[in-house]
Parts: sequence; structure tokens; C-alpha cells
Amino acid sequence: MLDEGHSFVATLVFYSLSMVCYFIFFMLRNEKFSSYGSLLVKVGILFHTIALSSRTVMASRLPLANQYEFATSFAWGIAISFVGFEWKYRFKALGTFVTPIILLVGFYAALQTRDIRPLMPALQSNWITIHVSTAIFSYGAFAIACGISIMFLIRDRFQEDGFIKEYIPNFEILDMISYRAIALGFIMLTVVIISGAIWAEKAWGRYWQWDPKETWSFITWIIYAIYLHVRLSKGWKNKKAAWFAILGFIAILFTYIGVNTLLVGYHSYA
Amino acid sequence: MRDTGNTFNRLISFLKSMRFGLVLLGALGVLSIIGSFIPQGRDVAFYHNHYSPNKTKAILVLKMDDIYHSFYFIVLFGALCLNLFLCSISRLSSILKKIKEIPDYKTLEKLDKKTQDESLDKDSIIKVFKEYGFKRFNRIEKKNNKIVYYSKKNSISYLGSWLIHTGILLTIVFYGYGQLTYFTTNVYGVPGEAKEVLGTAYRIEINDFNIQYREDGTVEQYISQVDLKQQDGDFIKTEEIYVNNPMRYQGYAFYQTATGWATDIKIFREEELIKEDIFYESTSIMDENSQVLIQFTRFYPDFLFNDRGIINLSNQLNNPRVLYSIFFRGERMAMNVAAMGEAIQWNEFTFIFNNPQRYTYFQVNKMKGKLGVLIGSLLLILGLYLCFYRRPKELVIIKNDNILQIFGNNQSIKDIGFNQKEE
Ligand code: HEM
Repeated sequence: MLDEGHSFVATLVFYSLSMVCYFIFFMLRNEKFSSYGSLLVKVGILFHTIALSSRTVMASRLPLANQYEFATSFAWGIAISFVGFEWKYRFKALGTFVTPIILLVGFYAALQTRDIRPLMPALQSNWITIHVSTAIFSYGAFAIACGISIMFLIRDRFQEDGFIKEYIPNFEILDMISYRAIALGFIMLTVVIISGAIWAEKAWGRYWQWDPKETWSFITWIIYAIYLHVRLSKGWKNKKAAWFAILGFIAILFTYIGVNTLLVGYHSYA
Repeated sequence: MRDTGNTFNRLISFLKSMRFGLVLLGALGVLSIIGSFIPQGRDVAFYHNHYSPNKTKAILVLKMDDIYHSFYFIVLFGALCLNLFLCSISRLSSILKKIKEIPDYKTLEKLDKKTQDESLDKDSIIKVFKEYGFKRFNRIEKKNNKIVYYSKKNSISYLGSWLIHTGILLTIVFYGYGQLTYFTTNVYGVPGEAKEVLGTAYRIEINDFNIQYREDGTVEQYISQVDLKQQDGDFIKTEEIYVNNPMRYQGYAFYQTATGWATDIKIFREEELIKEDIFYESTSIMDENSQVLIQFTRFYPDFLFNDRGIINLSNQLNNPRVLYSIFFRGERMAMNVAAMGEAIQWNEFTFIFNNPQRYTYFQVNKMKGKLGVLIGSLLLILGLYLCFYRRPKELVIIKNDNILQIFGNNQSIKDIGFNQKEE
């Protein structure tokens, strides 16, 4: 099997090339490049999967335990969600807005130490597998919603631009996909929080103790809950909803990166 | 009379409104953010050291040092429960009605209109329902040759958001009840000891305690082997407790929480053995007149004293030493390190530490309401699933001679489809 370090570097290279293609597509308005971008992202995912699998084999456990492992798995989750959404709703400009998020998380992973460290006893649980793997897809779905909301704002800004009109779907569809992505993310986030509480009880004897990571996942959950409600009741299916989705994703990034670097708590090893 | 009734109704409709609920959620969110930035549950000195006097005062007065257990945080959660409760009660009957009722084509979207030459029979109606993914349908006769056929799918999902809210309500209420009636204690000891679990009807006997290390020296697991017994000695069960695997019995859970060092100690007064016990790190023993006290300050399994001071090289018992202090009437008389078996003399007393070993420490909790929380969480997830992935669908076909008018709702986005060149 290919060695993890090299595959990870290859992953970043392919993701970066993909982003460049998607950008060229958007700037030069040349449709061919979006197909290249889409292909390159898939090649990236292939290497990414190899990197994750070889790490899984080396560590004899899923790579979900520390900052690096979670970040790389998180980037993988966004990439997979992206391919899924791109395939399902078939629109080309999505990549221009989502590949930068994949790379942001991917390069954050690259900054972390890659040592394989054994799991401390509190992390040895099947619940952590459920907890972290749902977190990856939840965050992935929210990332898609964020990307789509940025598209929404751009489309709103350049209403009259023919290219934008052609390649960015209309508001109704953007809003619908963003809503679908948030619905998926929200249900997953709920599972993340519940499975986390069950695991915390087994490991620490407390379901919930308001440590910063828990608190921030609660805050994120509230943000998206409010989004779902104002969307229903006030019919916020426009710019405001888009800003909400972006705000929610910032909260996700803060939960994941900010809490570890700025705040102290039980979760700080993960 | 009228007026008060009106005010009361207005109050209730405010309390059950979504707006009020969202304001409460928002407030809880904002307080949570504040609480995540101010370290929680430290002592007063901590805040004085880290914040300006005014800020410290504000933090303490507003209870921001323990925001999640503050009065107003709990009141907000209480209000949220009230809100969810009133809202769920008031919405239930209309939701149930919606589940049962015959769909009204006027509220649906017009999907299609078909005209056929030969008269339409039952089979062609079935075909249309199938086309839209419905297997069964109902039929109502209407006057003027009009026949209405309708079918409903996933109607139960109208309950989705109701289940979400009830689930959250149950979760908060039962969790809150669990917190209010929460019982916690701890018990610790070395292998061979039997200890009463204070405040419960049980005792535990520690048969064995092991720390498993990996090759690189990191800890793989802490494992205690214990017998659980009734206070009067009746055997209940024997179990291994390790991190992530608490022992559970009758609502109590015993968690492997910590470990530390203990030694045997013998205390002599003028050659006479007056006390023999197990002495735990960070504890102290006093004589019967409360005059003399010996404190077991720290344990060094692999002691080294060099120019950098005292250091501990490893967790192996290579060169065990005890750091102790002796107090007389509250004043420290001596402080030193001692080897195992070494006789420590102080006035007429002799202290001897021996047989160092690890002790195991269990936290013991009992929390009620877990079943309620579990049911609440499951309802929440079920409700979310119904809401997002089992949207109710309705199809109404109105047959008027050989014209079919088709009405429906909630066609998925796949059907709308994103067509690149649509505009
Ligand atoms: C505590 C956190 C809450 C969560 C996680 C939550 C979640 C949800 C979700 C997921 C939906 C469905 C949205 C959709 O279909 O797009 C919903 C709908 C709704 N929620 Fe909440 N909710 C919460 C609190 C509240 C509160 C406090 C109220 C106030 C009464 C409320 C009132 C409503 C109403 C009226 C609907 C619309 C139901 C419908 O049209 O079917 N929710 N909620």
C-alpha cells in the first residue's frame, strides 16, 4: 500500500489543481475546466482514501483521534459530500465554492503533527467511532451549505451577469439545496451530540458538562435550529438564510479549530 | 372579566409562540458563548488574578463563573420547556386532523391535466397514481359526474416536528430531574481492601488493579477487578471496571476514574506499634490527641535527586521515595523524603513506610431519568428523520367525464431538476 505521507501530499496537490481548474472555469468561463476540476477532485479523493486507509492499517484503528486525523477525515468528508451533491444536483459551479473549503481544512491538517499516537483509554470506545464519523459528514454537509450560500450571495450580487446566470442555478434551487444540506447536517449533528453524550458518560461519568467543545456544538445546533425555523415561519429563503448558513459554518470551524486553540477543556486532545 | 381573559389568552399565545421559543434559544446561545470564554467554576482568586477588579465583580455578581448552573440559565431552560410544552399541546389536535383528513385539492399544486377519448376506467386511474408513486387510493363520489380520488403517503410525518419538540422537551425535563436528584460519591483502595460505598447499601472488594502499558510506555488501560457486595456481605457480582466500561447496578455506576500511590504505614510510640494502616498519597494521619499529624505529600516511584532538584524518572518502582511532612499542633516540624522501610524518628514517634502500590479510584454516580432522556433523544431523531426524509405527499385526481385533473404537493427537487439552460 502507498505510504500515507506521500498519498496525503498527492491528495493536497490534486485538490489544489482541482480548485485551480474550477477557478479558471469561473474566470475564463470555459466549461471544459469544470470537468477537469471534477475529475481532479475525484483523483484527490482516491489518494485521500488511500492515505486514510493506510493510516487505519498502521494504527489498527480508524483515524479519528487527534487534530490531524480529524482534520484530514473532515476534509475527506467535505470532498465526499461535495461529489455527492455535485452528482445529485449536477451543477458545475459548486466546485468553485467548495474546493477552497476542502483545501482550507486539508492544509490545516497538513499543519498538524502526523505522528500516530496510541489512544488514551478514554478514547477507546465504539461510541467515538459513531461520534466522530457522523461529525465528519455533518460538518461536510454544512460546508456544502456554506459553499452554496456563498454562491447565492454572488448570484445576488451579479444578477445581470449572463455567465453567472447560466452556471449558478436560480435562487430557488440554491436555497433548496442549501436547505437539504443543512437538514442532513442537522440530523447528523444531533446524532453527534447524543452519541458524544453517551460516550462521555461511559468515559467520564457525566453526560454533559458544558466543556467548551460541547458548548460550541450546542451553539452551532442552536444556530441551525433558528435557521430552520425562520426559514419556515418568516420564509427566509433569501440572503438572510444564506448569511445564516455561512454563520453556522463559521461556528462549526470555531467549534473545531477555535475551541482547541483558544479555549481549554476536556476535549482539547482531540 | 373579559379583559383579564383576553390578557390571559394573549399571554398564553405569546408563551407558546415560536417567536418566544426562538428568543429563548438565542438567549441560551449567547449565554453559552459567554460561558465558553470565561473559565467556569474556578475560585474567586482566579478571577481576581485574570480580570480587572470591575470585570471580576461583574463576573461574580452575574454568576458568570458558573453560568450554566446560574439561576437565569436554568430559568431560560424552564421557560423553553414551558414554551415547547404549550406549543406541542396546542398543535397536536390540528396535526392529528391533518393526518386524517381528506386532502383539499385547492391547497395543492396543479400538476397535470389529461384528456382521453375513451372513457376512463379504474385501471387508468391506478396507472396515474402509480406514475406518481402511490400504490393505494381512495375514492369519493361527488355530484355532477365528478369523482374525486385521493391518496396520501407519509402522513405520519406531519407529526415530525411535533416529535422533535416533544423529544427535546422530554430530554430537557428528564435530564434536569436527573441533575436535581443526582447522587455522587467515590471510593478508592488498594487490592485486597474492602470498602464501604458511602451513602449506598453496597461495598466493594478490590481484588486486583492493573495498569497496562504499551511498548512505548503510554498507558493502554486501567483495569480494576472488583466484587460488589451488599453492606451485610451478600455477594452481588464480580466485574472488571476500566475506562469506558463502568460497572452498573441498580442505577449506580462505578467509573474507573483515577489512580495514585499508597503505601503501608506503621506508627510506633516508644517502640510500641500504635497504628498500622494503608496511607494514600495527599492524605494525612493524626494521633488520637490531634497533636501530631503526618502528611503523605507525594510519592516518587523512581526518585532522583540532582542539581535540578527532585525528579521522578519513570512510573516504575525503581527507587521509591515518599515526601512527607510532620506537623505538631498545626506547625510544620519536619519535611523530608524517606525510602521504603526507613525509620523516620520524630520525638517519641517512629514512622515506617513500606510496600508501595497503586490504588484505584472509582467515582460512583446515580442519575435518574435516563430512560426518559433516551426516549426523548430517540423521538428527536425520529422526528428529524420524518421531517426531512419522509415528507408527506398527497395526490388528488378529479375525474370529470374523460378529463383528469391531477393535484399534488411536495414533489422532490429531483423532479424540479436543475436544467443549466433553463432561463
Ligand atoms: C430547542 C430546539 C428546537 C429544535 C432543534 C427545533 C427543530 C425543529 C425542526 C427541525 C423543525 C422542522 C423544520 C423543517 O421542516 O424545516 C421545526 C419546526 C417547527 N418548530 Fe421547532 N425546534 C426547536 C424549538 C422550537 C421552539 C422553542 C418552538 C416554539 C414553539 C418551535 C416551533 C416550531 C414550529 C411551529 C415548527 C413548524 C412546524 C411545521 O410547520 O411543521 N420549535 N423545529
